[in-house]
Amino acid sequence: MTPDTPTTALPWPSRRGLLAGAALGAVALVALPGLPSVAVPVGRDRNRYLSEEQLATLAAVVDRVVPGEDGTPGALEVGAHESIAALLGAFRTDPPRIYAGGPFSDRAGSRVNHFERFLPLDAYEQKAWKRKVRRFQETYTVGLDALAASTPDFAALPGPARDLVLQSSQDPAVTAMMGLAVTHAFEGTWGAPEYGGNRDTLGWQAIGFEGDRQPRGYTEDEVLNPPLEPLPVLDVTGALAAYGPALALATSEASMGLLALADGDARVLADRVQALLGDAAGVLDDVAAGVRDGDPGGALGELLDGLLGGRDDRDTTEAER
Amino acid sequence: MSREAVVVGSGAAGSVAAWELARQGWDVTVLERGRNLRPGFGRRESGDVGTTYGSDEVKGYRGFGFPDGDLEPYTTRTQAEAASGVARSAQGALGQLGAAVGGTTLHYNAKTPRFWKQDFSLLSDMGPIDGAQVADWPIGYDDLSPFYDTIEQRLGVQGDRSAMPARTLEQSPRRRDFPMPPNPTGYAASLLAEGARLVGMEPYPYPAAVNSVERDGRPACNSCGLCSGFGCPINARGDALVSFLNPAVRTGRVRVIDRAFVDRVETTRDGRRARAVRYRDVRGRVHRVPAQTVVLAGSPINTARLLLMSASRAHPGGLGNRSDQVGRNMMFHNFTIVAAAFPFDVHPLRAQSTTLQIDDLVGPFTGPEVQALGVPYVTGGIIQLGSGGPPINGSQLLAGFAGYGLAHKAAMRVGPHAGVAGSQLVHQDLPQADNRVDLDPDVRDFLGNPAARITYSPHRHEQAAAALLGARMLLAHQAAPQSLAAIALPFPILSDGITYTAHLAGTARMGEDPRTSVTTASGRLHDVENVFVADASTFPTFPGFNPTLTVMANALRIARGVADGSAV
Repeated sequence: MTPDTPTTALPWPSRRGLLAGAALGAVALVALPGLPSVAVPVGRDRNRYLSEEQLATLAAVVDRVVPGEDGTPGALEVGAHESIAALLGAFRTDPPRIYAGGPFSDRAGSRVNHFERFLPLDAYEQKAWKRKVRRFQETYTVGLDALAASTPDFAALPGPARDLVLQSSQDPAVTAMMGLAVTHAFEGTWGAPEYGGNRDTLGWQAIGFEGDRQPRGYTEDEVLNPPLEPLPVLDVTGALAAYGPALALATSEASMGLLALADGDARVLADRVQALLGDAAGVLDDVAAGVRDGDPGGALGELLDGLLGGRDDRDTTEAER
Repeated sequence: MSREAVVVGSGAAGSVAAWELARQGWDVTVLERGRNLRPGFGRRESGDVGTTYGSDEVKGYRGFGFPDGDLEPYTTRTQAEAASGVARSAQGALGQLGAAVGGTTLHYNAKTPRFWKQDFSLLSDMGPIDGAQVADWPIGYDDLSPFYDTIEQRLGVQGDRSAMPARTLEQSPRRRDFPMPPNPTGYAASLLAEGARLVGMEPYPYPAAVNSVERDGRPACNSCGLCSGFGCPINARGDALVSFLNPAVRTGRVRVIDRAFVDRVETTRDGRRARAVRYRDVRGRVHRVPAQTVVLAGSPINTARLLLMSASRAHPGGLGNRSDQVGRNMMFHNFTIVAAAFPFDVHPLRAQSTTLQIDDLVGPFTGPEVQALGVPYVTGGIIQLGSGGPPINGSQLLAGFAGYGLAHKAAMRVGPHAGVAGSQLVHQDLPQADNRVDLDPDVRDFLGNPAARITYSPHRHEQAAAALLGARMLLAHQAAPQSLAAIALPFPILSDGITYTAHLAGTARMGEDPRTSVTTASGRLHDVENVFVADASTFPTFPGFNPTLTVMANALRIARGVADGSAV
């Protein structure tokens, strides 16, 4: 598969409906330009840090993170690998391509796309991001080269074969690279297009996300009476059973700290989430049944001790508090 | 007495303190470790202040307006790890609060419930509880009430008094209705509310510092849904900067120095008065600001760290730490999270975030099921009802379960931006002596100062509350119309460590007795004449309500005492 693979666009569910009833007047006041910014056009070659070969390998990798073979665009089709290349070459432009500008893109009522003008970094942010980007560059180049060396025709392999290579690799350079690539492929698929991925918002459309909505927002009627498109029921129930805890976490502010702790490494995050939740799906069902049946007795205390005991077993240390 | 003050921190507490001091004619220097992210700050009216934020999830993931985890790490460990000699088990950004002019309020969820009367007398009302240092506040609801009124008016709070449950009004009486009516309730929240009503709960519009009508030159919220973690692109949200700090700077009596990393409050030789506040700039150069009065407002972890770093011969355990309570009683709001799945797209992001509040699980509860869990009582907190999540957040957390690939992508189609909606119970966290901030013995920040180390584990009380109250939340979500299934994640049970949250309190508790508290009821360090703590460090307990409104009201109370000389 190559970056030129044709894409399949999904219909954009309710955009036309949203265009009606736009209310822009109230927000015109705050549509001010961002901090002083030097707009430097970013050519396809100027911002790339990776070689053509490395970029091709990376494209073949992100294609497995968010595959396109279910008929909707995946990471490759929306250019997530290009967004990673842009991040690695972030400091080849001024301002560096780290933080898109604000407040608005031109997708929801603003004539000007402020996201396109990246923000100048101050000395602290320069220091922090130069370190980070150097670490990313090292991890990607070493990892991609190791992958190409161990599997010379990796990019040409069919998808399932690439899955096997990536999942069975014991090479720490490859697994470290994947820790970043998974997170970055998600960002490049489902982040704002100005970062170089999510081409034409196809990544958002594939999952039914409406994208950034300002300054238009939603009218009261759109809030109260949204279009209730059915979701694939089997997928919903299957997903909740399998991934429910993660879906629940994603509705919470509490998840931000978990993400911060992982510092962008998908493997670390997966370890953290699994260590935290274990087999938490339905962990409270028995307690709920006890409360519902009006049978508190001593059983609840034992139940809680059981839950905590199960957790303590996972800890490396035990101590009475 | 000279009418000059140095305020450390420009977030919810520091901005309000600077505003009040300036209003009373004081000259104020505000030191902030972050940068300014709002174009026009100090130069334009608040309605015309711009923003560099946008509805841009990537920017949030790249820590825009946050401290960097490499340059300014925190470290953490559980109580059990501390007891077995583990120095730390994690290090990094660890969910730190924001660092920018305006603090974390630039991207807060802006929910503004008041604390309740009973929260100020938990020890007297409910008695002691083993393993916790529960204390009454040295002030009561009535002392804070007029400051709540002022903050709500100035910040611009929406709500509906007529929809509030009787017990809520009895526990947090209001002289006036809210300045603005509520935003429309999201569809997903309305489904969850229906389920909650079926199990006997009373959902009502969540008070929020969000314009529902044009006010103070700022527009009405248009329900884009990307609130928590996002700067408001249209300036519809009242925050520390637009509501307090910007007007304060425009008086001409307040200057803000950004990227000022404060590392020491310097005192006279006898330690009885502060003389200056020392900070380093980003290049490590040392600066001193002479200080007649010092107001600390860096948030609980950073305020404790600064007091500990300011140890001297006169204050060997840290400034104002004769009680050995500085850094102790670190409290976090744990969450119990519940989510329900629906067979259709319920658009959980198509509304101002979490538009409804439920108070039925605030407690305290003392029934036989509580006794069965081995605690004399449990308190819970409010439920924030009707959350969704944007896609990168969902994708990363789902990957923890589904890995990556086709299964992950299929799950994304029904993710928390579409077919899943959730709620969070905000848990009261009891103060414990061993939940504490100290200085990490080995890890330092980029300027060479010791990192804050947080030792934390939830109390049995929080675990019991999560089991009992989480179960009741689960029932409500299962009862929501067309809900296919629901799941609960009781954090205090799942994790023996810190819950990463923007809700923090403790570390410099106020009280009457200098042997058991750090500051007076006026927020002044018992042992230092002119150093005040204005942030949530002073909270003796941490009831289960979003804290920012109370942080601001208490900071206003403390600053007024400083300004008019009534502080003791």
